[in-house]
Parts: sequence; C-alpha cells; structure tokens
Amino acid sequence: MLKITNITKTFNKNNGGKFQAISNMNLDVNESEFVCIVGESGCGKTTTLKLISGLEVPTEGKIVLEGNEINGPGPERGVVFQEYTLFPWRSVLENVTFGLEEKNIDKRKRTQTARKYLEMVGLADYADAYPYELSGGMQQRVAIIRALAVNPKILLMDEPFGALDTRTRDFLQNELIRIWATERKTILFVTHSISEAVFLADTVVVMKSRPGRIHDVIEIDGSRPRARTSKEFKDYCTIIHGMLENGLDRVHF
Amino acid sequence: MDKKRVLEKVFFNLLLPVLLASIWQMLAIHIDKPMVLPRLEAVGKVLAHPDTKILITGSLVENMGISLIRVLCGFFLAAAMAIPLGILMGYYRSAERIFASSVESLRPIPPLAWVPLILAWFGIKGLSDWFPALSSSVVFGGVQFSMIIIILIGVFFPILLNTIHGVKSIPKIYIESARTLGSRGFSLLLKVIIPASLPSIVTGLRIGMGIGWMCLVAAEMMPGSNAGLGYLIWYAYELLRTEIIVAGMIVIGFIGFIMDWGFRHVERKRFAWVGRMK
Repeated sequence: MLKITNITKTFNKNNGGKFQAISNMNLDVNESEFVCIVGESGCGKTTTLKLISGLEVPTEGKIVLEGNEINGPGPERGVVFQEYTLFPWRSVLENVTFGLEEKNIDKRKRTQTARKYLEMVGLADYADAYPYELSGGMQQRVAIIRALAVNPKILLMDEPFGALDTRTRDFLQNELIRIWATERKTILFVTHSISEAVFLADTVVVMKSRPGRIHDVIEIDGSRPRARTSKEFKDYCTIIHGMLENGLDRVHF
Repeated sequence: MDKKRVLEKVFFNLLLPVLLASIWQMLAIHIDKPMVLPRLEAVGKVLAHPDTKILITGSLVENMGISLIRVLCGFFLAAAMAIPLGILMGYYRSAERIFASSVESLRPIPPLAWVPLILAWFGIKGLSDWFPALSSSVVFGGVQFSMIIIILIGVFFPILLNTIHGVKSIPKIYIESARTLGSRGFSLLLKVIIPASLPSIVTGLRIGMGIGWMCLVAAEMMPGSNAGLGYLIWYAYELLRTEIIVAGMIVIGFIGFIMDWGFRHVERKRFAWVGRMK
C-alpha cells in the first residue's frame, strides 16, 4: 500500500556542505503490516518518517500511498512524535477532536468518536483534563488516538515511547499491539530499541548510516503477544544487534 | 484559606502603606506648608468627593472618565494594528524583513517626542468634530485625536514585540502535528498559531496598557490639553493646590493597579498551562 522508490534526501549544511541523510532507499509496506525501522542515531530513520508524513520533501525519488504520490502532510497519514505534542490550550477531548474539526465533521459525531477512542485507551475519565495534568505515558496515548481518530490509512510513529520509563514503555507497547489488532492499521514505527522492534513488528527494517540506507529487512515470525523472555525473541534481538554492531565498527569515535 | 491566613495577608499588604502614610502625615504636620506637602485629610477630602467640580475643570470622576476613554481608544486601536502585524512578522520571514528595520528605528522614539508634530497635524480636533452630537458629552467630548495617537504609539510597540515573540516561540512540533492532522491556512492560524501565542500577546497587552496610561497622563500635561487627570494635576500645580495633585496621582496609580490586576487574573485563569508542559 505504501511504496517508497529510490528516495534520496540531501540536507544543506550551514557550512555550505551537503549531508546525505538517505541514499537510494526502496521499501514496500503492505496493508495492515506493522513495520519497525531500527538503526543508530543519524541513520535516517526519522528522516524517512518525515518524508512519508510530507513534512519533508525527498531530493530524489517518490513515495506513493495507495496510488497517490505524497505531496505535503495530510490526515490520511497520522503521525505520533517522540515529543509531547498535545495542544496545551485544548482539553484532552478537544485534542482528540482536532483532526475531526479540520475534516468538518459535525460536533456530535466528533465528540462521539473521540469518546470512543478515549474509552479504548482507558482515558474516558480524563476527557476534560488538560494535557499538563497528564503523565507522559497518558499524553502519548492521547497523541496516538488523536492521530487514529481521523481514520488515517497509515500511522507513522517516531520513537513515541522513547521518553518514557521502561515499565510505561512495556505497557504502551502492549496497548499499541492491542489497538493495532482491533483497528488493523498499517503502522510504520521508528525506534532505536531492538527489543521494542522485535516485540512490535511483523517486519523489521534495519538501517545504517553514512549515508542512511536500508541494510536488511527481517520478517519476525511468532504470534502475539510475544514473550520478551523467550529464546526465539532473544535470537531475533541478537541477529539485529549483530547487524548494527557491524555498522558501528566502521564508525570512528 | 482560613481566617488567620487572610488576616495575616491583609496585615502584610497594608503594613508598608500605613507606615509611609504615617511618616507623610507627621512630616506634613511638622512642615506645616500645604503648598509643599498637603496633609492626608486634605487629600482624603478631595478623594471623598469625586463628583464635585474641582477648580475650573470637571469633577474627579469626569476627569477620570475622560482619561480612561482616551486610553482605551488608543489601546484598542494599537492592539488592532499590532496583533495582526505581529503575527505576520512572527510567522513569515519575508514580512519580518520588510517591517523589522522600520519598527526598530521608530521604536526607540519616546511617544512624548511625537507630541509637537502630532499637535501640528491634528491640533485639538477630536471625535466631536466628526460627531457633533458627542460634543455635549463630558467624557466623549474630550477624546482628541492627538491624545489617542500618542497613546497608540506608546501601546503599539510592546504589543507588537510580544506578539512577534509569541509566534516565534511556538514549538515547531505543534505546527507540524497540526499539519499532519489536516490543518492549514486560516484554520491553522486560528486554531494553533493564535492560541499558542496568546499568553505572550496578553503579556504585551498588559505592558502596553501600563505604558499607554503613563503616556496619556504625560500627554495631558502638554499644551492644548483641557481635561483629564494629567491636565488636572498640571492645573492644580499652577494654583499650588498640592492636595489635588496628590489625589490625582493616587487615582492614576489605583486605576493602573486595577487594570494590571485584571490582566494578571486573565493570565492565571486562562493560561494555566504556560510553563507546565513536560
């Protein structure tokens, strides 16, 4: 459903030089697939997501979502960022209805949809609270359903749990799998945590830096929820870890 | 808050003013020259009868009303120009390039330095020259264009600068997430850019109101003025009626305090989120 063809992204550096963030990248994502992109900092994984979201424009190549070439941001591609991005001047409910307002859906319908999603993530009691009254984990749950409420075709997530503590993170990973299972959304999830990728993904895309490129793509077998302590789980982690280690050897610190 | 805490708060708030007033009164009795330092009861007498005519000007309340309406006219005009321009300059780099040098070179000129030129342009023309029906109104009859423009100049810059700052300091991530949710153009402006910069805009309004009030009182002391609290003070000075001067000063301070309190109240109530985002 999402097809990335030969994309290259070059940034101009302040000193007049150029920095190639992504070099000649190709990727296909299927309907309802959960894809995780892992890689060290600077491998271009966040840039990839920005390109798909339309917030950045590729230097070369094209990205096509269900036959339409991507040209700027749009509500059919929901984005959840690592930073807390809820609008602080809006209540939790008003945050979730934001995208629906932009779609000109009438007020009763919007509230109904927002409440349904708040119910789904167990935050129905917080509808009238303001983001600053919520913990980081709760804010990220609201950010996820804010993106889901507009019914996007694909959900793009950029290390959404990166700033959270391990327990909250594990909890939200389970939540996300549950949401994904009920909504059957296509998800593209960027992380630097190998275990997070193995826990969540159908497919793990391993990226390497200088220039940013896809190193390998690994299919993860095994039903969900996955046991983080199983041998199989650890084997996958070891394989991916090995791939990233090789990359690090060539980096001069 | 329990009763004891309230009493405590009132006590500490009043401690210094009461002390200062006592020292004043002792000095006034000691010096015994009302033209230099009036006694408290003389000032109190002026304040206690705000509706009686003072000297040849109107009453205290009338002068207050004239000053207040002048400030509000200038204030709203300034806000109506500075907020849109500030949003434009804060959001579009090109708008900033066009306006920044003019703004930065006009801003350091004190509003009062404009007085002679503005008097030369507008003289003592006022609202009643456009709407003759208003000339019989004590309050609206005193709205002169020159005063309004002086206030406008004083109020304009703090609002403009704070609006620009407010728009510029919106975290980019708010705008990006709004865009990924399908927001753009006018809707993005209305639903993200304005609410996100509103706390800073209100701070600008608050500072602007304070400056406008100061400019006004000073402008009313200039030639061509014939009413208002500033005029009252100046006129009383010429007759050496210091108790009227002090009463006028107290009223000015009091109004400024009330207006500032109003703005701070709005900031506390409406912008509880400021500084609390994780």
